Amino acid sequence: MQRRTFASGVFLLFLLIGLLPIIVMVWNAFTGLDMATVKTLFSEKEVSESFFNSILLSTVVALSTTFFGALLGVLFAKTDFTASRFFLSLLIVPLLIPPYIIALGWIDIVGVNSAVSSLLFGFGGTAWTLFSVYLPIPIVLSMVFLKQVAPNLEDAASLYTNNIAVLRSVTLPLIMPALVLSFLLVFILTFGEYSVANVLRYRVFPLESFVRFSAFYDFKAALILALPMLLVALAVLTVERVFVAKKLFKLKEPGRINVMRLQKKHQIFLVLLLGLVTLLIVILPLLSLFLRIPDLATLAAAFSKAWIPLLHSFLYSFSGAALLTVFGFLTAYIIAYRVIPYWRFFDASIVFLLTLPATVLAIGLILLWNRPMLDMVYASALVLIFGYVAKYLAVATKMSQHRLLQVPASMTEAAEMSGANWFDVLRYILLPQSKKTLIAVFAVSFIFTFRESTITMLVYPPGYETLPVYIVTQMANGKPEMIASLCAVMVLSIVVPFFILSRRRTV
Amino acid sequence: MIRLKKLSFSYENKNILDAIDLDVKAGERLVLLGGSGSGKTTILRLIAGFMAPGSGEIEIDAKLVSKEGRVIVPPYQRNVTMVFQDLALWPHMSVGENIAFGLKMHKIPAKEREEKVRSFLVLVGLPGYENKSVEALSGGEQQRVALARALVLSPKVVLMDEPLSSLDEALNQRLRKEIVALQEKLGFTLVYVTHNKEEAQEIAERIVEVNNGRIVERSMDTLSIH
Amino acid sequence: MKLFPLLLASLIFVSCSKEKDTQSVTVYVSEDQVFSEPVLKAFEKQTGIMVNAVYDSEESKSTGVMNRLIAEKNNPQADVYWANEPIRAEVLRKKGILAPYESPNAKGIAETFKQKEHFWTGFSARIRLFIVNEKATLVPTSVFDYAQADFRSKGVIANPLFGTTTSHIAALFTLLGDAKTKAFLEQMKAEQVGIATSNGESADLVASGKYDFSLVDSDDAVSRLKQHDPVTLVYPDQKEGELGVFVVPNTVMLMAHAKHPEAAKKLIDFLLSPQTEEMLAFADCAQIPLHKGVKMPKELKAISEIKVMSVDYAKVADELIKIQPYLKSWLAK
Repeated sequence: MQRRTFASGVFLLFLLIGLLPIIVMVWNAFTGLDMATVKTLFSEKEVSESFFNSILLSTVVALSTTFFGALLGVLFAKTDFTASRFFLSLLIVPLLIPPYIIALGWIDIVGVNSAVSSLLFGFGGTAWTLFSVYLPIPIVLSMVFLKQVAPNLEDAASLYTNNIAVLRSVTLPLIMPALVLSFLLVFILTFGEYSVANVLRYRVFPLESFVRFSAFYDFKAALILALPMLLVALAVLTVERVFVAKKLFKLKEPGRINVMRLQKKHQIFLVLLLGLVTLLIVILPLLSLFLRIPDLATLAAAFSKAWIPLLHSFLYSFSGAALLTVFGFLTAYIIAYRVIPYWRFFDASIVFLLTLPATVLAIGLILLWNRPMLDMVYASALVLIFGYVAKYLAVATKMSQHRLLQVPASMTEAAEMSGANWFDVLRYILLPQSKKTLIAVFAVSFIFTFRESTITMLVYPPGYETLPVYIVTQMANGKPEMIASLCAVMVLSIVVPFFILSRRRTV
Repeated sequence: MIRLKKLSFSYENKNILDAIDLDVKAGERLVLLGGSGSGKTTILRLIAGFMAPGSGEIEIDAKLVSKEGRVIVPPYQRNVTMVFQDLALWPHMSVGENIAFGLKMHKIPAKEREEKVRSFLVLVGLPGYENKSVEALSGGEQQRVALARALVLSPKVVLMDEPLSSLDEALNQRLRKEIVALQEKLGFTLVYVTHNKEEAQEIAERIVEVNNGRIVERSMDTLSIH
Repeated sequence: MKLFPLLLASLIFVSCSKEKDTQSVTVYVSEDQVFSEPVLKAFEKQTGIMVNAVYDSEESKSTGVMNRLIAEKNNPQADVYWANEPIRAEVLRKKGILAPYESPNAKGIAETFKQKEHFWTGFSARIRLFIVNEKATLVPTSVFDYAQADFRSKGVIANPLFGTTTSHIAALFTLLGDAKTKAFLEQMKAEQVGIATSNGESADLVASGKYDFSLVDSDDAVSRLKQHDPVTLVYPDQKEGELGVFVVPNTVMLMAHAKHPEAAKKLIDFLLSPQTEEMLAFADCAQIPLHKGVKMPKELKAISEIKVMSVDYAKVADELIKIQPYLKSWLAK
C-alpha cells in the first residue's frame, strides 16, 4: 500500500471517529438558525461573565502550575535532592483521580458553613484545587525535557558563570517549549473542566453551556456557546506554532545529564518545604475524605458495590488507551512527516477536539451513532471508546510526535537505503525507537480515560457504568461515608497499580 | 554509472546547487571536496533520492531516477547505499541486526542473512560482534559496522558522507586505507564527501571540488601543491 | 507490537458487552440512584427481568438523562423513564418521545398526578415546604410571607431558574396569572430575599442560621432534620382559602418505540405499586405515597392530611418556558 493511501485511511478513520460527530451536531444545530438568537445568547450577562471567569481561572491555574511545576521539575531532575522520587509520587496522585474527589476533600475540611467557606467556594477554592490537580503536568514535562538537554551545552556556559545562571540562561530557555506546552495543556484542561467548579459553586463557561443543555434541553444554544472554544483552540494552535514549533531545539536522547549538588542544610530545608506543600495540596484533602470512612466494613461494602463499575472502568480505559496509543502514533507520524498535504488541518482538528466541551462531543456521538443499523457501535461501549479517542487524541499524538521529531533523519534514511519501504521504516525503526514513549502514552491515556466522567455519563451502555460515573450518581444524596469509601476504592485502584508498574519499570 | 544533468537545488530561496553536471564512471572512486555549506552533502542526498532536485535530471545506471521536483525511483530501489556522517546506527538493534536489516528487507532467508553478516563482519575486522549492542562499541568499531551495513547488500554505488570526521587522526588514516582496499576488492562505485584535502587525495581516483553550489574538476597534482 | 492483539481483543469484547435478550428492560432514572437502585433491584428479584439502568448525577440533574433521551429520539435505547418530577415528563411528551400506557396500578392515584392520556403517571412525591431555623422569632406560614415586611431579608430561596423552584413559581403563574405573580415576586425582591444556588444550599443556609427560613423540597428538609440541625418544618398555605402546598411527584413513562415493551410495562406497574411507594417513604428521601393506606414513617403527613395545591402540570410546563426571560431579568435586578 502506498504511504499516502495509508495515511488518508488513518485520516478518514479520524474523520469518522472524531470530526463527523461534530459535523452532524453542527448540521443539526445550525439548520434554521438566526443571528438574533446568537446575539441574544452572547449578550446575556451570565454567559459573558462565565466566559471571563473561565479565561481568568484557566490563565491563573496554567501560569501558577507551570511556574511552580518548572521549579519542582528542576529540583527533581537537575539536583541530587534525595527525596525526589518520594515527593514526585505523592504530588502526582491528584492527577490520577477524578478532580472532584479533591474538591470533596476540601469541602470536608472547610465545611459548608464555616467562617472560611467563602474562601473555598468560588474562585479561590476552584483555582487551588485545580492547581493541585494539574501541577504534575508541568513537573513531568519539564523533567522529561530537562533530561534531554545535552550536558556539553551547559558545560560550555559553566566556563563563564555559576550553576544558577547556567540554569537560567541556558537550560531553561532550552526547555521553553516544554513550559509553553504545559501552559497550553493545563489551560485547555482547566477550561474544559467543570466538575470542580460545579462542586465549589464557581460559574465557569463550560458549566454555562452545560446548564443550557440541562435547563432548556437546547442543543442549539449549547453548541453556539461552544463556538468560543473554537477561538480558544485557534489561540492555542497559534501559540504552539510560534513558541513550540519554531523553538523546538534539537535535544539529545535522554542520557547522562549534569546534576547540581545540594548542601545538607538545603536538602533538609527542601524536604520540610515540600513536605508542607504535599501536605497542603495532596495529603490533607484526601486524608480528610478518607477519615470519613468509619470502618473497614464500610470500605468493604463500598467495594462490593463498586467492583463491577470498576471492572468496566478498567476495560474501557484499557481499550481506549490502547487505541489512543496506536492511533496517536500513526497520527503523529502523519503530522511529523507531513505525509498528507492537509496535515495542518489534521493537526488543528485534534487540538480543537481537545478544547471542545465534552458534552458537545458526547451529544454529537449520540446523534451520529444512534441508528438502528449501527447498534453494534452505539449499543455497545464502542461509542465510548470513540469518544475517548476523539477527546484525547491530541495528547497522545503530541507525545509521540515529540519523540518522532527526535529520531535523526539519517536513521530512517539509512533504513530506506537498505531497501526498507515506508512501512518497514515505521515498523522496524520508528516504532521500536518510540517504545518507551508509547508506554508513557499508554499510561497517560489510561489515566485520562479512567478519570473521565462527562462523555461516559452521556454514552455508556445502560447498566454498564464506570466507577467515576457511579460515584457522581451516588453523590446525589448518597451517604457521605459511602461516597468517601467509593472515592477511596477509586484512588486505590488507580494509584496502587500505577506505582507498582512504575517501580517495575525503573528497577 | 551516475550522471547528473544541469542539477539545481534551492532551499528557502537560497541556491544550494546551481546547474551542475557530473559523470561518475562505474567502479570509480570519486571524492567531492568542499567546505561546509558548499553543497557537497546535498549532491549525495540527491543521488540517494532523499530529496528531489529543483531542476535537472539524475541517472543511475542509465536509468532516469530523479527529475525536476520528482523522485522517480525511491532510495531503496536505486541499488545505492550510504554511510552517514553520524553513522545512524539504530540503537535498538544489535550489531548483527543493524547489518542484516537490509537483507531482511530484501527478503533474504534468515540462514543466508546470518552467513552474510558473519562474513562482512570478518571483512571489516569485527568477527564475532553480531550480538553486541551498537552503543557499547568504540567510534572506530561503530564506523566499521556502518561500513558493513552499507556493503552487505552488494550495492553498485556507495555514498559516504564524511564518514571518518569524528575519529582521531590515527584511526582516520587507517580506515582510509581500509575503505580503499574494500572498494578495490568489491568494485563498487564510491562517491565520497569530505572537507579534508589529505583524506581526499588518499581515497580518490578523481577529485571534484564543490564551491558555492558549483563544481570544479581538480587534477590530483594541482591539489597537492596547496 | 504485542499491544495489537490485546487491543483487538478488548475492542471486540467491548463491542459485544451488551446483552440483547428480551428478558431485560432499559430504564433511565433521574431519581437519585441511592433511592431508586434498591427499588429496581427489588423489581429484578421479584420478576427475574434484568434491569439496565442509566442514572442521573446531581450536577447534571436533568442533563445526562434528559439530553440522552432527546438525542436518542430516533432510535430510543430506553424503554422506561423514571423522572423525579412531572415537568420533564411533559417536555418529553411534547417532543413526541413518549407512548401512552395506563397501568392497572395507577387507579388508586389522584387524577391531578396523572397525565390525562396516560403518557405519564405520578407516584411517591416530594412537597415544597419551609425549613425554619429554631431560633427564628417569626415563623412563616405562607409562601407569600416572602413578600411581607416582617420577614425582610430573613428568607432565602434557591435560584428560580433551576429545578423545583422554577416549577413552583411557574405553578403560581398558572394559578394567579401574570400580574399578581409578578407583583408578588417584585415585592419579594424588595424585601431582600436571599438567592442560593440550590435547595440544598438554601437548607444549609437556614440550618447555619444565616437565614431564618427557606422554601425547599421535603427531602432536603428531612435530611437536615436527620442530621439534627436546629430546624423545624412548616407546611405552608394550609389555612382556609389558601393555595395549599406544591406537590412534586415522581413520574414514570413508557418510551415510544421501546425495544422491550412488555418488560417495560411490568416495570411501570411495579413502580406505581404501593410496595414501591412504601420503600420510598421509608428511604432517606422520605417521599410521600400517593396511594391511600400505604405504611409510612411517623414524621411524614399522609397526602390526605395535607392541603394540596391543585395544578395542571402540563400548563406549568408551558408556563415554565414562557417565564424564563422574566425570571432572568428578575434575578438580575
